[in-house]
Amino acid sequence: MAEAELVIETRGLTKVFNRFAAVEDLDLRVPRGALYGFLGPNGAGKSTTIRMLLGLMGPTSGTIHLFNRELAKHRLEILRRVGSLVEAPSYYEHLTAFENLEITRRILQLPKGEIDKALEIVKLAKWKNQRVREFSLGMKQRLGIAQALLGKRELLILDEPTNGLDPAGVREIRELIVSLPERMNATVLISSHILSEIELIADHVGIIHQGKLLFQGTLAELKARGREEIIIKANPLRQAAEFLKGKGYAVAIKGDKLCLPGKNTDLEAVNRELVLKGFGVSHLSERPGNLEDIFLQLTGEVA
Amino acid sequence: MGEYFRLVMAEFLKQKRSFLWPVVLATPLLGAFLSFCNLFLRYDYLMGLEANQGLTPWQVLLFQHHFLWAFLLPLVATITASQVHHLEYRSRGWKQVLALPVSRAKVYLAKWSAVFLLNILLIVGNSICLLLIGKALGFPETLDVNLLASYTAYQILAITSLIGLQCWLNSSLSNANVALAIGFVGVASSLFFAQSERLAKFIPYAHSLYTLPEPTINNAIALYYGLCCGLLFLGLGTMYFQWKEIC
Repeated sequence: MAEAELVIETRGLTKVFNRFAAVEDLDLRVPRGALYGFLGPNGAGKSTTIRMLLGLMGPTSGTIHLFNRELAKHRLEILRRVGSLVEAPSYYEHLTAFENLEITRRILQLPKGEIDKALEIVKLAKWKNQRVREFSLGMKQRLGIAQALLGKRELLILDEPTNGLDPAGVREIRELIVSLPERMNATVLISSHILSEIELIADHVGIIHQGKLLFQGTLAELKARGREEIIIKANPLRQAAEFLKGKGYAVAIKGDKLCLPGKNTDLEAVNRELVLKGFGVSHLSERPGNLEDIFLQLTGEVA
Repeated sequence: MGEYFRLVMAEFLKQKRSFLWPVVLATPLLGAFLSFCNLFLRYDYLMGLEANQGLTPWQVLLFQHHFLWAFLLPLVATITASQVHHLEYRSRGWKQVLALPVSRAKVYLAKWSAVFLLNILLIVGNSICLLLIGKALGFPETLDVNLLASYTAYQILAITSLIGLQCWLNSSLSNANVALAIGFVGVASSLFFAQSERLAKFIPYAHSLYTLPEPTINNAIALYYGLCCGLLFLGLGTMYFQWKEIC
């Protein structure tokens, strides 16, 4: 992740409310084009971080860089490229969907057709002249996303967009969000406290708990942390096992397979060493750990 | 300036179908109806009063109307300021507006301007209604344009201070109803404050009581203190809003 261009980069980001550190020393790094899942239990500091990223709150200390520019110094320029949905979407319920978006469109000085395009993406075009107070929660969330999409934003920050939705609504929003990076050529940061949601949506994950970032990396890296076992079919089996033991790996033979502990074992390195030594490797797989267990271990909420 | 005007237009779009329009348009009509009834039923009595000797019917109409309007105007100004801000609290709109690439100072100024423009509409509406009452009652004297124009201008300047204070209160308190309650209490007690000119100078709720263009009334309080307090509160409110944290 170090080489990739970062769209969001915070350094030592801290927010203290009356001696309570809601966010502490946060180094968030979101690469361009990522679907970044910002995961944490309720009250972990996700919304506070997002509010700081949008300039709604100032940090107590630390810096925020978006698109390699410091937010504190280039707020207006940066926010032109950022679309957001912060917690429950905000609407003027006495106005129609179109009128709500028209307010944003006018402020941003966008062409009139932008509203129809955004409503088309979130599948609300049919209801554009209906007052928002008549909308279901799912429709309101979709309208919130449409608002965030107005003006071809390069970065979308969505704070708990599936909150309060029924399973069908969650699925609808999830499918919409997953399609956004390709459709809009945008980077998406989505926060949630629901692990399964993030697992289905994100390719990068940041886990925050009690204001501190506990993990940051790709979803594959997170899963690798909790990987239970690596299974290898190598020929000849016993010699391969001896070879790996000699290299310091804890190997066990189970039937016609070698089993290595999943945690802290570099799968690629094991494969490389076996192949370079001339062993025939016909099968290589991993038994993934339960993401929920990994999450609970990280957040220290495991018994 | 373009951004500021777009924000002001957006404020008016937000007020579409809002109850504010009926309030702003109906209040002058209500005030005018009551004044019309007052003068229609008591014209001879009022013109015959010793205190009204030497006054034209237009002046009597204005003085009679002022007893009512000097309270209605600040009340409606308080309601408009609260409603314009309440909309953002109710719809949690602050975070959406301030996450857009717009200057915070201009967002605040746009809100203030929307309230101010609505109040100008209210005041001008009241003046037009007064004119129509005079015509309907068939006053023999020609209209004293200076009198009506001065009254209108004084009200606009006097109300600036109340709008400045109420907008500041509304933006700083997270519940617009609290600001509304403070405003109502302020207006209700304005007559007491107005007993002392020295005190009334610094109480925006009392400024509208000094708008009657009459030699015995110190219009300077409405004119200079209204404007100066208005600009002071506008400045303080804008500064506060720049640093307001949106939770």
